[in-house]
Amino acid sequence: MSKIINIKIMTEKLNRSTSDSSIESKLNDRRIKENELIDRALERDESAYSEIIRLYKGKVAATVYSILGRDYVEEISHEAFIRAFNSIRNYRRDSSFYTYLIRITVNLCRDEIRRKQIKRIFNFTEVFNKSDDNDAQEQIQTGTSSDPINIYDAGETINIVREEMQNLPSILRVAVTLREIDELSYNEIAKLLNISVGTAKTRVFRARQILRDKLTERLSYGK
Amino acid sequence: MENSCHYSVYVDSFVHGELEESRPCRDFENHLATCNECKEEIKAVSQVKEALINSYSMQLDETFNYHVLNTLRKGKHFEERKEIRIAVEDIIISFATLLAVVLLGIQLFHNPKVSSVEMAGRLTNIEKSSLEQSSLSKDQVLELVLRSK
Ligand SMILES: [Zn+2]
Repeated sequence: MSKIINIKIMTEKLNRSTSDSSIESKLNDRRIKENELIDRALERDESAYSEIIRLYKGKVAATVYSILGRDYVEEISHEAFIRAFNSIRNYRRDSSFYTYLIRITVNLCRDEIRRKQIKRIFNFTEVFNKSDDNDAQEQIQTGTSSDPINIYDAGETINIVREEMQNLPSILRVAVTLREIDELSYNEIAKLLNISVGTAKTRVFRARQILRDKLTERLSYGK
Repeated sequence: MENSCHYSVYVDSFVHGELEESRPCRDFENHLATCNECKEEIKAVSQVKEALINSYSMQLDETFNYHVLNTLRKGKHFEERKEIRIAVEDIIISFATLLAVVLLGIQLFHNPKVSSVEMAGRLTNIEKSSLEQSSLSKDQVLELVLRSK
């Protein structure tokens, strides 16, 4: 497993002292900064909009890429920002604007899937309405990915991940995207998908386990 | 891959920085000094996370920002505030005009009978010369002039 991916090793994290510069205060700083930006955006300050786009466009794009595929990234990301900004007066600050934006993005992905009628690959009705994961296993697809996996030339691991993500049941793919790419908490994921925290955790754990197993299996075959 | 250690429940939160500075975090970190199972689990969870981030990392360039802002401009998103200001100014001007008309009306109502001589006294020279050249009757013109004042 250690050969699989070139990552920042966790020992760094393990060795740090518990009193290091607190993430909490960094998060607070981020929240304060975001609030200031929203205040300015409400005043229709154009530079605030630019800054919000710059801050979050990477995450929004990665979310679309992971859920729908590369071909949809520009169009859906653009629409997500437009919708978020046009409804900025409706945004209540009970969650971060980032979470609000990701929610819009995920909903757009759902709409797009419905519109394009590609339910044979992604069954989104279940993503949003179902809390019972027992059927998830049944949805595992054996078909090939619709996503051109070689767009990003970043090695075999990346290709395997993209392929296996597309093969995952959609409910697992969305959950693991929200956790690992968007870095949302389980509470936020549960709220966003309208499921329980327990179900959110189960989905993420299962997706992660499948990806782990597939990576191990396919990379050891390739040795 | 099953982790039998009861501390393993902290692995996910630990990797995502959600245990920072809490008591379970300190306990877990102490535990890690002696538990290889949890260390391996942390490594595995981190690897999947990193692999996902690397697989879907996307750089949308400045053109993207431009397009979003341009769409907002076309939708007059940034003019919303200006429009509100203009609407308020319009209301104030309309109200002032209405007030002026009402005051003028009151003024006329209280001085209904104005003689031709008095009217003539209020005319400017230009108005007087217009009056002389006009085909209207003297009273008609005087009435018009008075109304316009
Ligand atoms: Zn342990």
